[in-house]
Formats: sequence, C-alpha cells, structure tokens
Amino acid sequence: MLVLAVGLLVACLLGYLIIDIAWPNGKLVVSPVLSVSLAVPLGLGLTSVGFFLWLALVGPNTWGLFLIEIVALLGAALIWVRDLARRRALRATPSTDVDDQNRLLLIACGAVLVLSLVAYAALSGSNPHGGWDAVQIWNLRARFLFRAGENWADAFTTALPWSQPNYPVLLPGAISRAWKFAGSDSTLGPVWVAGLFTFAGVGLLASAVAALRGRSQGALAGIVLLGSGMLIWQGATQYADIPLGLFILAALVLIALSDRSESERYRLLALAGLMAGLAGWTKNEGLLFVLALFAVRFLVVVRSHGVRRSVKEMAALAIGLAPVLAVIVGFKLTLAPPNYLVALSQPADIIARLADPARYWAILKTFADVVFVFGAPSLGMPLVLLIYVLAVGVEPERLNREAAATTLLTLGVVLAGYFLVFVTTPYDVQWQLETALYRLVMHLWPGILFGLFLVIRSPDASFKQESPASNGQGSVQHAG
Amino acid sequence: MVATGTVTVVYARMTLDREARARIALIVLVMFSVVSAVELAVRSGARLLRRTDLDRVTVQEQRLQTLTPRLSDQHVIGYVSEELSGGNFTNLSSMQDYFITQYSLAPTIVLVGTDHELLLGNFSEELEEIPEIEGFSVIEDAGNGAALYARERR
Repeated sequence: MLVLAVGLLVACLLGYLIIDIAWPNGKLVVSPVLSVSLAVPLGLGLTSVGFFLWLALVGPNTWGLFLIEIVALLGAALIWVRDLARRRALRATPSTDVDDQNRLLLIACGAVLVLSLVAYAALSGSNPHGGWDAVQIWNLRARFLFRAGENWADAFTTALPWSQPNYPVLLPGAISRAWKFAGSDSTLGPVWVAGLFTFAGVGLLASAVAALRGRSQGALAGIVLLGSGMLIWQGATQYADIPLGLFILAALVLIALSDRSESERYRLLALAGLMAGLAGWTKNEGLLFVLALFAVRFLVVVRSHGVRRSVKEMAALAIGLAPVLAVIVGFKLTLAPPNYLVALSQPADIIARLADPARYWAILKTFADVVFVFGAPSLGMPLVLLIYVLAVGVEPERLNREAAATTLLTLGVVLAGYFLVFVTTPYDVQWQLETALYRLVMHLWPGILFGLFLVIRSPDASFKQESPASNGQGSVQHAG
Repeated sequence: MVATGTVTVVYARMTLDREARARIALIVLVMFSVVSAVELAVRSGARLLRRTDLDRVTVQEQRLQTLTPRLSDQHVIGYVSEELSGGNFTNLSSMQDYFITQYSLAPTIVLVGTDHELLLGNFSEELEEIPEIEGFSVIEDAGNGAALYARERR
C-alpha cells in the first residue's frame, strides 16, 4: 500500500516540478492548489506515456524505467531548489483578506468536498473493481499490461473485440505503472488513480477560476462541480471519462492563463498542447478535442490579434502536442485495430443515417433531458445553473474574453462532433445514447463550468463588494 | 430635478432587486449543491454499510481461485456455460459473468467456444453435476459450478 502511494507520489511530484520549472511565474503567480491540480494529470499522464514506451521499446521489466523516473525527479528537484530563491523574490505574498461572503462560500466548498470524499470512498468500497467498462476495458487492459510479461501486447488482442482494443492507453498505463511500482495489482491502484483524477479536476476548476475571477467565484465553481454528484459517481466507476475531462480542462485553463501572462505565454501554450495530447492518449474523443482546440483558438486569436500572433500560438501548442501525438500515431499504426465505429460503417450507410430525421429527434430529445436530470435525481444541475446565470447576469471581462471564447466555442465544436457520431453510429442510436451520453457530457462539463464562470457575474460584483480579483486584474495568488 | 430624482430612485430599486435576486439565486445554487452532495454521501455510505456480500467481481475471483494455478501458463482457453446457445449468451447476466471471468483470469485469453485444448466451464452452483462436454474430460472441479476441461487424446 505504501509503495503504491510512493509510486503515484513520484509521478505527481514529477508533474509538479515540471509545472513549476516550466512556468517560473514572473508576473502571474499561482496558488499551490492550481500547481498541484495541474501536476496530477501531467505527472500521471507523462509517466503513463513513459511506461508504454518502455514496454514497447525495452520490455516488461520496468525497474530501469523507475530508476530513470527517480533520477529525473532528483534532477528536477535540484533545478527547482536552485531557482527557488529567484522565484520567491518574483512572487507576491498571498492575500489573506477573506470577507464574510468569501468565508461562507469557502466553508460550503470545504463541506461539499468532505462529503464528496466520503461518497467516493463509500462507492469505491462497495465496488472496488469499478463499473462495467472498468472490468471490460480499462482495468482489464491494465491487468494484461501488468501480468502478461512478454505477451503484454495481448492487451490489444482483436480476439476480445468487446474490450475495445483500439482505445488509447493513458489510464491502463497509469494503473499498470503504479502496480508495477508496488509489485502487486491490488484494487487500491485504480481506486487511487481514479480518485486523483477526480479530485484534481475539482481543485483545478476552483483554483483556476479563483485565479482569474476571484476566490468567491472559484469556490462557487468548485461547489457546482461537486454538487453535480455525477463527477463523484463517475469517478468511482474508474472509467477514462473523468481523466479525459480533466485533461480537456487543464488545456483550456493553461490557455486562459497564457492570455494573462505576456512573458510566459508560449510556455503555457506548450503545456496546454501537452495536456491536449494527453487527452488524445486517454480516449479517442480526445483527438476530436485536439482538432477543435486548434481550429477554434486559431480563429479566436486571428480575430483579436491577427494571423502572425495566431500562427505563433499554434506553433507553441504544436510543440507541446507533438511528442504525445507521435506516441498516439505509433500506437494506432502498430498495435491498435480499427475503431469499431469506423470498421462497421460504410459510406452509403453513413449517408442513410445522416438523412434520417428520426435519429436527430431522438438525439435532441436525449440531449435536452441532460439539462433536466444531469447531476441529481430530482432536478438537473444545468437547469439550476441556468437559473443562477439568468439571475446574476454575465460580465465578460476584457482580459478573459478570448479565454472564454476559446473554451466555450471549442467545447461547442466537440459537442457538435459527439452529436454527429450519435447520428452516424452503426448501433441502435437509443442504446448508444443511454450507455454513452452521460459519460460524454462529463468530458465537457468541467470545461463548460470553467468557461461559464469566466463570464458569469461573480458574487463579489453581484453584491457590490468589489475584490481586487473581480476588476479584471486577476488575483492569481501564490504561497510559494 | 424631479425627473433626475425619480430616475435615481427607480435605478436604486432596480439595483436592489437585482442584488436580492442574485443573493437568492446564489443561496439556491449553493444549497442545491450541498443537498446533492449530502444525498450522494448518505446514499453511497448506506449502500456500503448495508452490503452483506462481496461485490460480484471479487466473488467470481474467489470462485475461480482453485483453478487459476493451472491456467498460469495458458495463453488462450475456451469458455462454456449452460447459458450459451449457438455461441451467444442467452441473457445479459451470463454475458457479464463471461466478462468477469476474462477479467479474473487475465492475462489468459478466454474465448467463448470449444476450439481450444483447455476449457473453463462456468455453470450455476445449483447444478448437481458438472455437465459433460463431448471430446473433453474434467481435469479439475472447483466444486462450485466452475471446472476445467482438457481435450481428450484419441
């Protein structure tokens, strides 16, 4: 148990040091929660990529890999310590001002977080192997990678088509790496990995919104994400949908932060590209996100700053994306069989499905249902949030306008892509909607909340208690 | 002068209304989230406390435990069950049992059918005897409905 925890800690610490070194935070200083929340997906993602490459290029004995990881960790720690004094001098002292309203929201956020931790532990205790897709796909693949030795590529055998051997390897890789580190495949591995992804998402949303819009708004965003119990419920199923949602959110947050940091813009964009690549290494839907992000960001920046700046931003994003994309392409070309949606679809069938209005109606009806029931048995969180937005109004600040546009338009394009996949699916559309829609919504929900809380009027502004954060200057605090 | 005063009063009332509206909306949003979180924590906690048996996957893993040592060097084995008809499962539950069996026995690949030298029979515990399979003989009976068969040599 302890060794398993150390294995996961090594991955997260590596992520933390990379974030901290790559982003020295000149003018833009960040809270430790934001750094840690970015470190979790980055560390687990990069070590999962490293684990897969090691299996493919060296073999199933991974002690050499762990030695490299620990040496890399020590090297990064040395660089980090060397630059610590310089970074401290650059950083602002965190504000300790907390008014009554802030305090109440922070208390509510803390209470919801504790309740969510209890729920996550209870759900994981009742179902330690996760939901059906975890047994059929994600944890099954992790077991193959851990147990099969030289035959590790059996994880992608076409003899078990129901195990979706085409799906990318980030989650099984992260779990299997942790098991290899510990030397045994206990159920704690996937439970902890899923928990890290789930709660890092909450920390990232709350701290990023706090950095860009003020503490009250950040706390409220965290409350809403946890309040839609779907996050915890799906997190405990140990599926790859929550990790994908986190990578999407991380890429969008880093782009938003890049808009607020002149000197570190391109480093942050490279990190955003890396997170987008890791989204593609988590699920095939992540590749749709990568395409949507590049297209939307290009157009948004062209409109506001011209083609030259936009091309430079695309180059920075591509630099971060390229290494992971190369691994994805390698995997798809050598190990992965064709995706079932592609393999089972003939052009004539696709055209026939596209021309069938009944399919559109069924999908639209189910999409609309999401608004009313997503997140709670009695009333959907999107509906309650919509009522809140109508009551408080929106206040798009100049500094966050591009980030909000990039976030909401990108997610809109991805949602349109999902809609099209449902229209053209070779399976019964109603069955596909019932089994997949809520999981797919969870890919986008944290990002949608991020985009919305960038533009919704903050509680500070609504109650005329202007905080330094709500005047467009940001309150990106740091306690380093 | 009067007009300006009226405008100021109306504006103040509108602002007050908007503030009140925003405050109520905030309270509703936070309360809704807190209640949802309480409900989820209570429901999932009660489910854990009420639980009398182990989860289905753990039960199946324990059921197959006596057979797994003989499978450690097997790359691919066959799978049979009384709930298979023409290579298809007759109900969802039996298909789920197959998925759990594959998950339990990984990295051995478990394929539905009798095309392999070794077969895993996964039958109901209520069956009095492990069914015979033509061309195969039972080499290990776990005593709980699960058994291993080997192809008979001619």
